[in-house]
Amino acid sequence: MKKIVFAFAMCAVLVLTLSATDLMEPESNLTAGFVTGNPEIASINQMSFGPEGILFLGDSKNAAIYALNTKDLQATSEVAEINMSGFDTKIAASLGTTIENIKISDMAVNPVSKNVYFAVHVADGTPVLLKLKGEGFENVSLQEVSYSKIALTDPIPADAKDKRDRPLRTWAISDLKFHKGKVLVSGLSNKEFGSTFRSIPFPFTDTQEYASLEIWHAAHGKYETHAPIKTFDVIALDKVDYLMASYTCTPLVLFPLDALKEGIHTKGRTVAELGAGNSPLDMISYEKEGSTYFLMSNSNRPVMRIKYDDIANFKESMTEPVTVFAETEGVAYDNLPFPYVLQMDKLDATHVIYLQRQADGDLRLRVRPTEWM
Amino acid sequence: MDVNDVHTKPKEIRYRLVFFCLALLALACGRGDQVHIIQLNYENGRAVGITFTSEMDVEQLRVFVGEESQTSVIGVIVSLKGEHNFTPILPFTPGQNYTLRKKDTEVLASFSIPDRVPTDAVELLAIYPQSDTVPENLLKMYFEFAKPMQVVGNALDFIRVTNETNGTEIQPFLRLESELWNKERTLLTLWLDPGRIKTDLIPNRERGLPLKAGNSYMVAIDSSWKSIEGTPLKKGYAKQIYVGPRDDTQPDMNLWQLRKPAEDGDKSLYLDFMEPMDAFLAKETIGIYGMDDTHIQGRFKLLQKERVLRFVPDREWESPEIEIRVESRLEDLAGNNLERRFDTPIRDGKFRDRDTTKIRSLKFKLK
Repeated sequence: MKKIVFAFAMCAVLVLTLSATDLMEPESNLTAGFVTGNPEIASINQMSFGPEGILFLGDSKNAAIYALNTKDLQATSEVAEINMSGFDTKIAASLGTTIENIKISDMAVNPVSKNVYFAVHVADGTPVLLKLKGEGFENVSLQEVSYSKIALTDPIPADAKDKRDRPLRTWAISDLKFHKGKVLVSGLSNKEFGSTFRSIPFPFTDTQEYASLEIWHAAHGKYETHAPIKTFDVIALDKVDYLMASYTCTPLVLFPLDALKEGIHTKGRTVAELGAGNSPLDMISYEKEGSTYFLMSNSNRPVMRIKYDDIANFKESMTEPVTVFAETEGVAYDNLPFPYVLQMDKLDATHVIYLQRQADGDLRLRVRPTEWM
Repeated sequence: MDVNDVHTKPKEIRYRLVFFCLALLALACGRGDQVHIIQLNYENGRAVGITFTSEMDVEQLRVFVGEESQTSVIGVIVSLKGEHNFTPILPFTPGQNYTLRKKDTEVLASFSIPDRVPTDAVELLAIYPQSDTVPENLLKMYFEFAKPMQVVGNALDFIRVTNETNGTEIQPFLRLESELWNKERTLLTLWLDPGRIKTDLIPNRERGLPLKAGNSYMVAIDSSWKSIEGTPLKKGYAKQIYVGPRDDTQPDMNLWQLRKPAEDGDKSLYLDFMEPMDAFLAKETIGIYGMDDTHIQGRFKLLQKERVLRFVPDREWESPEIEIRVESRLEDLAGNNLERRFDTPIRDGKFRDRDTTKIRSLKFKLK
């Protein structure tokens, strides 16, 4: 009995020591304003990692962006070889149900730990955040978590007298990324047709900027405002950061990021028309043999690979309409032999992870070296 | 957290569990591994866990969907007073069978979740626009349900549109990965493909408008569409649409007519837009103000298939003159708002967008 008492005492000392160590750790500036509790996340439509294991979640239902401190900071340089078949069946089974009762809405890789996260909705709408662990999954609590939140406010008329009690519009958040201290968010409203691109400083404050973007939509043969951005990335050209946005039907358009200011109407430069009848899904970049490449997955076309140099060297803006259905123009690209890639992210500097529907209907999660992409 | 990770639960429980299991292990030596299910645990009508007894080391126990799955259900086991409670992170699925296994293989017990008792069937309350006749360039439709609708699947799988004039099935709506539902998931917005509505855009040139003037269409909603509780629609619904001419005219506030409150005590104010307006924007972009700039509180209701807006103030009218302030984003059925047509032509190679956050106002004398 004495031994047991001694063991408990030692454990207590250990726990106290660990707790004290936790308290003594300097708090990150990024998470200094975080609170711990239940953020009451209603949906996870898009997600993307920022620095220090902070996961940004786009919640269309609440029209809000959440920053979650995952505390998943165990750095690793090892990349697991993943080739999981029946992925949707396995994720459903881990939630105690079957595939007709779930919807996988997004996937994101923590660049520090290389852990892969999945946002899943079940039939009753409950969002779940899961972390891949071997061939199984681990639940990441959305109820008791360190977080920060910002609501996506509507542009309110400057001369509006009553700014309260305005009915919230739903924002279908189409993409979100963290870039140089800002969370960039694209979305589409349910009431007025037109997308808004927002730039939100992080850590969150009361400010957010929304820009109205105008593009030359070559496939549509007109200047086309209000087209909803489906996915985007950031590209630096001559030391200037550009938003590289892709739209349905599928123009690729560059906007200088510093020009995206509230109330300013910004015209983009279309550098490619990647074919009508298609919708882009995800965009990532990687480096190989000294060159930078972008990969874009699509709803009705295989993964496209675009060379950074080809974008940088394309100085003109496409202004002539593409007149033949599904014809492509502008910056060159390669079709990679990966159709029906539904989710895609960078696992590390030399690997890509993607969720692909196979010809036999199987949903497979795979890791592939960029050497072969 | 997996069943494996039960020791990340509070330390007290962990140690008690370990001692308890060790004691049971000693007692159970030679008895074999047995699990006795005591009960399913319910909260708000949903099976949120299962209670069982076993003399074996419960850290070896896993719960699985059915008998084939090799992926264990994520959850925690908490042991108390000789009973073990397994709580999955989400409630068990009604109608589903589960097995309790020793590690991944040996099935020790199984249990089924009873099917849900059918609740009242879900009704589709309205399809907007409610008018039977719509312009050829109709921009969007709303579907309003009595209960929150299912999250999985795609709404367009339950909506079928047929051109009754030529008997062909058409797909006029824009398919989005992220569907446009309100927060309660009772209101769905569907856009008719804007690329086909804007004149001279390639989809418009190649495929034409989604709806064609002079034709009639049937929008049919399948009764298999379920609520988030899994209850299907009460019945299949259908709405017939007659397509009229194109509407390229912006709503003109100067044409709007106001019917003043009646002398007999009905304090309702009726605003006639002279055409049907967007059913939801009409109620949220308009504010009624008194002469002293006070916001007059009250209730709005759309009448006559979204052509007339009725406003009933919460209190008696006091101001002899009122101002109706309207955000320019208010749209008619074709997406034309107070600042621009939806299909705005390009002049001098430039698109002139206007500020749709602007407020416009009309003043009326009530007395």
